[in-house]
Amino acid sequence: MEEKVARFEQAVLPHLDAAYNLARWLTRNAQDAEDVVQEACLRAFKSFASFRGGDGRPWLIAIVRNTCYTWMQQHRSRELATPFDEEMHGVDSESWNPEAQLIRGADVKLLTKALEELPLEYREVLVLRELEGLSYKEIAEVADVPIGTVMSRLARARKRLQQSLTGTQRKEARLEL
Amino acid sequence: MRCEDVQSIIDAFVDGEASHVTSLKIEGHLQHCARCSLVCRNRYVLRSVIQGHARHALAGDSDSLYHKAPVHLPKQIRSALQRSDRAELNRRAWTVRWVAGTAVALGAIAIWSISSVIYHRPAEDRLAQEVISSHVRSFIGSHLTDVLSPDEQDIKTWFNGRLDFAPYVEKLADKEFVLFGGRVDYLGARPVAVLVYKHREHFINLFTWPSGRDSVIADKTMTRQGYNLVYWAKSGMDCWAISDLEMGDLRGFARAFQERCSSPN
Repeated sequence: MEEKVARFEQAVLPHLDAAYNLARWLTRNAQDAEDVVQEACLRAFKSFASFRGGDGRPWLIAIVRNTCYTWMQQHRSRELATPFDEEMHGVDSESWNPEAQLIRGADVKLLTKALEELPLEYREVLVLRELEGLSYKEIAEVADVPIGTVMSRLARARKRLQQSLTGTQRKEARLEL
Repeated sequence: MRCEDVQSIIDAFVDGEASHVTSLKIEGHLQHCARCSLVCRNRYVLRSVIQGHARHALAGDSDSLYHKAPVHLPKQIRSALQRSDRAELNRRAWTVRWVAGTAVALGAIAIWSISSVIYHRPAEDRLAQEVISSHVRSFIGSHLTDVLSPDEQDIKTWFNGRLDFAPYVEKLADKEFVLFGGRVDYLGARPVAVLVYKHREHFINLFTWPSGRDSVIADKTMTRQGYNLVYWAKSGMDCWAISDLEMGDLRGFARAFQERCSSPN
C-alpha cells in the first residue's frame, strides 16, 4: 500500500538523476529517456522485494540499463543491429605530439558529439565511470561483464574519444588557416 | 615493466583501480619514461575535462555533460507507482476472494500458489541470473536468433546436429504468441535450445533442455530486475521463459506452450 511506495521512494528515488543521466546518454533523446526511466522505475518497484537494501543507486542503474536495451530493441532495433566488435582494429598508438592542449579545449558541445558517436558499449562504461563515478566492480555488475572487459572497454573508449576530439579540433584549426 | 604493459593498464592506474603494488611499479616506470608519461597525462586531462564539464549541472542545463532528471519527473513517476500499486492490490484482493470461494479445491490451490511464489533455492537463483543475462545480451548486436523463421520444422531441422537433444519447437494455438526464431545458448554450463516468441512488440526467450529427472514441476514464477520469469519441468524438459511482458501474459504463454507439448501432432 502507501507504505511500499514510500519505502521505494526513500530507497530509490534519490537516484533518479543517475537513472535519467544514463538513459539520456544511451537513448540520446530527452523524451525517450523519460519514458525509459519511468518504465524502469515501475519494474524496479515490482521487483522491490528482491532489493536487499544498501546502496540503491547501482541497483536502479542496472535496471535502467537493462530497460534501455529492451526499449531500444522495441523502438530502435536498427541501432542495436550493428554487431559490436570487442577487438577494435587499427587503433593508432598514442600520438607523440602533445595533445593535452587540444583535449583541454574541448567544450560541452564537442564532448557531447564525440560521446554520442561512440558505440553503445563504450559510451555506457564511460558514462558510468566518468559521470556516475561507479567503481570498475560496480560497472561490471551493471553491464554484466567481467572487470577485465570493463577496463579494456574504458581504455578503448577513451582512446576513441581522444582521437575524435583532437581530430575534430585539428580539422577546425586547419580550416581557419 | 615494459611500455606496452604499462599502457595496457594505464586507465586502471589513473582511475585508482590498480593494486597498490602495481601502482608503485607504474609510478617507477613513469619516472623515466616520457612516452608513457605522455599517455598518462592525456588520460588525466581527458578525465578532468569530462568531469569539469559535468559539474554544476542544473535540470535542463544544456551547458553540462551531466543530465539531471527534469523537474516534473519524480512526481510523474510517483503517480505511476501509486496507480500500479493500487492495481496490484485490487488484483490480489480479487484473487483471495476467488480462492476463498472455492471450498473443494482450496487445499491444492493454496499449496500451488504459495510454492509458485515464495520458495527459491540458491541453484535456481543462479540459473535465473544466467537466464536474465542471456535475455539482455540477446537484444544486443544480432544475437537474438541464429535461425530466423516462423516455421517450427525449419527451426527443428536447424537444431538437429547442433544439440545432442531434440527440443520441443511449437507454433502455438494462441495466435497472439508468434514463433520468431531460435538459437543455441549456454546455461548452467551446458548448451540449451532457445526459442524466441513475439507477443505484440515484446519478445519472449524460452530456454529449454532435457530434465535431469523424471519429475514434473508446476509453473514457478519470479520477478527479477524488472523481468518476469516462469519455469517448469514437464514431458522430460526443463523450461524457463523470460520476458518484460506482464506476468499474467507470460503465464498464458507458458500454458499455451505446455498444451502444445502434451498434444503432439
